[in-house]
Amino acid sequence: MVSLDLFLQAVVYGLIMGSIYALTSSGLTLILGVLKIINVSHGEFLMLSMYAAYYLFQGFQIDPFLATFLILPILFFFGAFTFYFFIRPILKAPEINQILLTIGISIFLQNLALALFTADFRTLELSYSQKTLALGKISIGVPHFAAFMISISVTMGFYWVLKNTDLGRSIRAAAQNREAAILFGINVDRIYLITFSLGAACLGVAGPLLATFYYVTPTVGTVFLLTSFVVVILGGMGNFLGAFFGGLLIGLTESVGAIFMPGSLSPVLTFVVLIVILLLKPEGLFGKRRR
Amino acid sequence: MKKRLTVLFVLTLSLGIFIGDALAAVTVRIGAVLPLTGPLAMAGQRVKNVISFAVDEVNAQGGIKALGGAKLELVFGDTQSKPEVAISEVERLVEKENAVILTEAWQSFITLPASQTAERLKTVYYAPVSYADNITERGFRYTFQQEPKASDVARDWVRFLNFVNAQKFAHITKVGVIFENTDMGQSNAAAAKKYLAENGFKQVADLSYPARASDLTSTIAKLKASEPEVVLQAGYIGDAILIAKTADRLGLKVPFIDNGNINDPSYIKTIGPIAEGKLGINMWNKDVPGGQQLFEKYKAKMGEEISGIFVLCYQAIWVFKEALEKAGSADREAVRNALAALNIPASRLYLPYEKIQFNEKGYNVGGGYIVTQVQKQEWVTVWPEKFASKKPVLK
Amino acid sequence: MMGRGNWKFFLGLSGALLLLILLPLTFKISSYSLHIFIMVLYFSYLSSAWNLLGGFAGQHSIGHSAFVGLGAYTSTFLFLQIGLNPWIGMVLGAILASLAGLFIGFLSFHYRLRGLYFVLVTIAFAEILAILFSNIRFLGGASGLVVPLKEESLWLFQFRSKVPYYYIILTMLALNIFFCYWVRWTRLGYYLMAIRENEDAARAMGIRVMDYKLLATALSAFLSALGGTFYAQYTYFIDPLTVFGFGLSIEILIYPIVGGVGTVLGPVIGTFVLYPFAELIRTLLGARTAGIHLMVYGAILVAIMILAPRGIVGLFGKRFSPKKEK
Repeated sequence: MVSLDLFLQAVVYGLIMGSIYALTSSGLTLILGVLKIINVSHGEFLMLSMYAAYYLFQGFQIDPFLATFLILPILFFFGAFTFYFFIRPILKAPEINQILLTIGISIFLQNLALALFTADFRTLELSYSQKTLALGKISIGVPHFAAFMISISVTMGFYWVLKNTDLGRSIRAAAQNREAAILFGINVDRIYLITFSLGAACLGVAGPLLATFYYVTPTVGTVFLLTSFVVVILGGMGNFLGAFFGGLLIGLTESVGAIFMPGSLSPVLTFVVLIVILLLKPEGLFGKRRR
Repeated sequence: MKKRLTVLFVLTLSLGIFIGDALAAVTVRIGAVLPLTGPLAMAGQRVKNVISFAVDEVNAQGGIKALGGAKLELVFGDTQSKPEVAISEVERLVEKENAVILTEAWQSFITLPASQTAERLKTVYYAPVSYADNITERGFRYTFQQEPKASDVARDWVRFLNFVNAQKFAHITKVGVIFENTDMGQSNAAAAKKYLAENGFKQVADLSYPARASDLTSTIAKLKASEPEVVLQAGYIGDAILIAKTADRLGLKVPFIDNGNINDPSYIKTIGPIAEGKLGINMWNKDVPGGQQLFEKYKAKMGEEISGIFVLCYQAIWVFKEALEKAGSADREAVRNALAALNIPASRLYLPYEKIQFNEKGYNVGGGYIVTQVQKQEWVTVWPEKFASKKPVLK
Repeated sequence: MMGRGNWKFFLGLSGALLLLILLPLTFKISSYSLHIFIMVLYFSYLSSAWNLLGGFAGQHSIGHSAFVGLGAYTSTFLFLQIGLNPWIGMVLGAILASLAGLFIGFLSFHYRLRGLYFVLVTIAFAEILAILFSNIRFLGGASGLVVPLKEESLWLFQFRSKVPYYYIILTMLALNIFFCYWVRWTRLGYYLMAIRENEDAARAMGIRVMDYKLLATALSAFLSALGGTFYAQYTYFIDPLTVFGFGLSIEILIYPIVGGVGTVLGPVIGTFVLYPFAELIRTLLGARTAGIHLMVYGAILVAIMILAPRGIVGLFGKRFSPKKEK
């Protein structure tokens, strides 16, 4: 039988990885909820922010947690750039075209990284990379813990912005009903631009956090892409809080699942959860029925 | 005026073709189909560097003397880690680029269809790295495998454990196995199960994990809970890095023996002090005879460190040279026959093998593994005794 | 039955077919070129099969590799285990795949999944199969299955030369295209397109939406699986990552979208243009700085989507393309 310690360890790490998923998915849920675009290159934005963290650390010894303040705006502008030149022209195109376009962007960015940075695996070795905190018999890595706290703070912060600021309200309005939002005088095009860029900016936070304990390579984005989509569905498209709790749930499923099943089968569990949710409550655990 | 220019142009072109053709006659082309993009691009790139280095050396030493000093030339293809692309590239390199010998796709699931294609084209496919057990079991004439088989990794793991016990470096009875859920991982693990049982070891863990997992805490926690005295690990370097860090964090401080993927220079570089004490099956190390020299030569010229798995490819180029010298011709069939009849003794090898000699299936019966360990942030050979420069530290 | 098709067009099409038939016989074609042609025909075939569901019916699946893989594994596994003739295995595999398609289709359509939701279900389905097959050693596990080389024979679906494979896949493609034409210009096709354009309106008009979507799924799965067996018999080796791969699913839909989704010839044109192009840039750029050729490929995809959103076919006339927009 599985010991309690083992189970608790899995729960703790499930929550931590879950908070990372939550962060990588929050940007995606915004983009999906407001723009209704499936951005397959989402993982590559994450990858680029991880490389940014790596090079800022290598070159200027900037701690990745601090580097977030630099990388967030970089990703914001990169998102804006991508949106303006590549996404805007296809906003009204059929969904399948949008998918293919973002696939093209994804292939391009992955191989750009390969060409620029080479395929070598890179890790950030911080002085506290391997330090742990002890919670009874459970050990938690310091970078993991910090990532968890920051994820929560960022999510809360974003949620507050969405609920309490004009910008947030405009975004939610544009998400709910584009035509009505225009009638109300909201500059929907500008909102779309900001939303996409904010979505990218979320990754500007997730990337450096992830880089403190995961390896950096041009294809690292693909590791998190599918999971992010699953989390978004779980939480409900456009639902920020949903993405957070969805992320935690998926993190737990993977982590605890790996305790009870052969580790290599735990992704199956994630997909099964996805299918069940899609069939029973496609608007997400926290979404409102839109049909 | 126009007419004269045209004539001049055509003449130059013909001259160019003539010269090009003449030049082509004095080079022998080796085709390399590698994963130059995709998740294994790092390995592909390293192989490219290593074999380019080897080819330059061969040429600098006079090329193929039996062919009047003909130089070796490399032509590359990117498999993109996709079988049908690998097939295309094999076809292209053989037909359009006139490659006489083909080499390494790296991943076994690519090597199988690639070598199949080479077989149809009656061109040698030489695998210095791929080692799936069935590569030479298909009754092919043109496929050659230089490396010991995947199941031999497990055989040597257990031989090493027996050695450790016999020499009283430690007393191992309980062994845990974790493996990546890929062809390589599954093969190593299945063979490990067999050899461990045959040798009276108690296998306390047999854990698989998905390749390129985002987090391995649960798996390592399960591993720790099974209380192994030694862990055998079969996976590629990305996950190996994650495993090392996770194990350290969770306080799992037993010796880990890897299956041959962590001898890449980036391993120690990326995880630093955690690497201390880690063991791995290896194919070569710089403390074997002639190793230090090769290591320094390569570092001086290419600016990076060469490691075991890539020296396999380095050796392959020299094997090609011997085969070409023996064949005395660049004809594919002659080259194939020369390879099949080769018997290179240890004294002429860079690898710590007994010899290189292929049986009728194309499998090299003289190959062997060594075990290396990170001691003081350097890889040193600890087994077998005839190559060991240090004793293994298993505390 | 051929409805609005004009005879000039069909003459041209027949001419192209004739050219393809005569190609290996008249010209001295290298093995390399032959392989490229076979791959082009193969992907045209798979893309057309996808197009039945994704283009005609408008249900975008990014999990079609599930069907390809089921086809490949069924015929190969049965051949290895009980020596079952691959042609028979091919049909069995296709039947299995259609059942799988009906299963996943029923689940999705019954629960009214559309758009992204349907996409994700198909992805999840293919991924689950990939992981399951990787873990079941009895089915070969991650090491896959090797098709044993017996003797050259049409009966055993094995040949030394590539030429027979060429003709087999050409025949499969031709039959597939004719089938698509037939579907397109019959009631089935009209209903599917009505469902694609506006599902609720179609339902209101009395079309049995669920039945037709399921039919499209089953047909698409059936055809895809046949392609899977072809692949297994051509490369003599299959493994879960390749035949159930996400990469394959994506590749199958790139060609129809680039060529013109929802049209009969779109997938074929898309493959004929894009596949050799990808080969070319890899040949020219592949060996230099790693990744350059794929950067070009990605950029081209982006450019095509922005500049030619209706695909190549769409560039040549409005009446060929579907009109679905947001």
